[in-house]
Amino acid sequence: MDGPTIGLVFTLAMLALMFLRVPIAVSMMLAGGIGYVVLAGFTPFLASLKTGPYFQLANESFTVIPLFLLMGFLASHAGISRRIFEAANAFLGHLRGGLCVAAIGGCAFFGAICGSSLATAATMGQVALPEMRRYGYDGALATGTLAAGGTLGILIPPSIPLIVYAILAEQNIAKLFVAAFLPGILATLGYMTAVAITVRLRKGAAPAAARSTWRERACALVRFLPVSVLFLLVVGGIYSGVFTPTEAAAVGTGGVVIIACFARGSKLAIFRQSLVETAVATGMIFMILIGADIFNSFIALSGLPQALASWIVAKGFSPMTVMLAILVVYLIMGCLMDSLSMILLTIPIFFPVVIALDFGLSYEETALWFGILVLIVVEVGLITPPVGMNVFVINKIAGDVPMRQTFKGIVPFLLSDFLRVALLLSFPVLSYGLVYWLGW
Amino acid sequence: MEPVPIEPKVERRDLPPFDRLCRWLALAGGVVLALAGAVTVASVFGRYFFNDAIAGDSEIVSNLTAIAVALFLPWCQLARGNVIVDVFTERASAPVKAILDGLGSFLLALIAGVVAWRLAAGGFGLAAAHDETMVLRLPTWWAFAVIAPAFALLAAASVVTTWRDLAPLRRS
Repeated sequence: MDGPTIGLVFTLAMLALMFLRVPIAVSMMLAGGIGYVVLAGFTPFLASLKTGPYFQLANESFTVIPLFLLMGFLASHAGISRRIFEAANAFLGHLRGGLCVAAIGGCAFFGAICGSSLATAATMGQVALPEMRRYGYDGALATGTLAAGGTLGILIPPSIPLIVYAILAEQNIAKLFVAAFLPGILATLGYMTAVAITVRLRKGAAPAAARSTWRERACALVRFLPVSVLFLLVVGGIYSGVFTPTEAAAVGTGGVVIIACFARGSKLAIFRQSLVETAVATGMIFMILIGADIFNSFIALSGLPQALASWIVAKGFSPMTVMLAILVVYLIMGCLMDSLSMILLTIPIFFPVVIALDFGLSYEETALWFGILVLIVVEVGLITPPVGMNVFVINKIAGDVPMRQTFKGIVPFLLSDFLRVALLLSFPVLSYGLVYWLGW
Repeated sequence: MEPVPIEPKVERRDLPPFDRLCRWLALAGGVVLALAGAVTVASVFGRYFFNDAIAGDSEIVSNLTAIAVALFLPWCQLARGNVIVDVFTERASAPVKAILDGLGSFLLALIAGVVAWRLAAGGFGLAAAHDETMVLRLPTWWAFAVIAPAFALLAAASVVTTWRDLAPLRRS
């Protein structure tokens, strides 16, 4: 067997292990490790393990991940989502479907503090769902809004899948964060439009809520003030280049700690809970990072990516056809796997392919554009059956809405997602324009 | 999938001693991570207010992070943080699921054991070679002295979860 064939065989073996309930990280390590031994022998593989896992854990680009996770979990427990939602609600709540629009705005804002989709969905859901129920909002609309809104946690930087993409594609993390900003705003506006259309088509889905008085609005704004300072520090700090993403994460975590000190309840419990949740989420991500490192060294050794790239070039497919095919692969895989594993497994193979194609863009423009597109399509997997994790989490928090209803409630937001992908595919400048305009 | 952000509410007093040890180490790792964040913040302040960043701060931060993450790993496995794909086996019977889950945990135990052994060898090698970091000239084996035992503990935690995965078989 030649290298690329061995690469393909062990890729299939890895998928088979995964589908048999072997943890994703373990499947990568085992298939990658044995494949490496087959190609290069035992000694080089055992030698690579002497320091390889350490360099994954101590990778300077990765230190940002646990810090952003800690910031997000602290923010979830420190009542920050409530401050955000109440401010949005005070100004938008009385509109038709206003609570849903406020929840989406709140998710977008919280997404700028938290890099995880699930945490965003869960924390906003706990605040917004009771309000929606109080005013008799339709269950499908309420749960659909929050499950979809949660994906803004990842679309709007900081975003952990985007950090991993940046490292694999050897791109600047801060630049990708800047690039994701405009598509993130588009996503927010698209979801708000989806709500506006839904409540007009299905009258009675969202009865009017009470209009806040100006006094209530002022109070909500005062409580929102510390959060907006935090937002400016983190997002403004990264975009202006004052902070590196790691520094922004550290400073932001410090800010959340200060806000948490004013939260209700036991401060110690908040910190302990956040640390343990950070431990579990970080542990899972770094196990996958170590596994993917082993597997990707094997894949690089096998020559599979080059073989695939030259096959595609030889076949003479049009660049757009290839891009569409890749995005469809992501949509299908997104129904089975989590976004991070997908990015880790596919970028080393797909990135060289995409870069080899001619879209009339520079190398960097293509890299930014492809990163944003991948980010969006992998997120769609979080709200589609059979394993839409956001949907499960929100459905569990709501408690009394049938799962079918929640998936039905997702449909308008999915349509908005597909429209946005089409828009970004047709106008790549939407993905990289801001990077130039801000002078990065 | 991403781990569900809401930790199952287990009374800490109910945890078996081994679980309590791992959870305690994860918390200690969290404190180490907070320390890494504090060093970063101090360095930022130094750079903007005193025109003087902490020299070699990234060496401290990345090694502290590596130690923190390694301390997270055993608890992550006990808390079932390591994600699996369960779409294809949803309809499988409980004993089949138990066997497959046990197999997964057992494979992780094997791999973590091998990694712990190799990292220990790597650490001893670096210590013998007096390997140091670039700027601060810190000995590089220090981090290995925590990370290799943490992987050994991960192997132990995986043996424990293998035993627990197979519980449904013992009952029937």
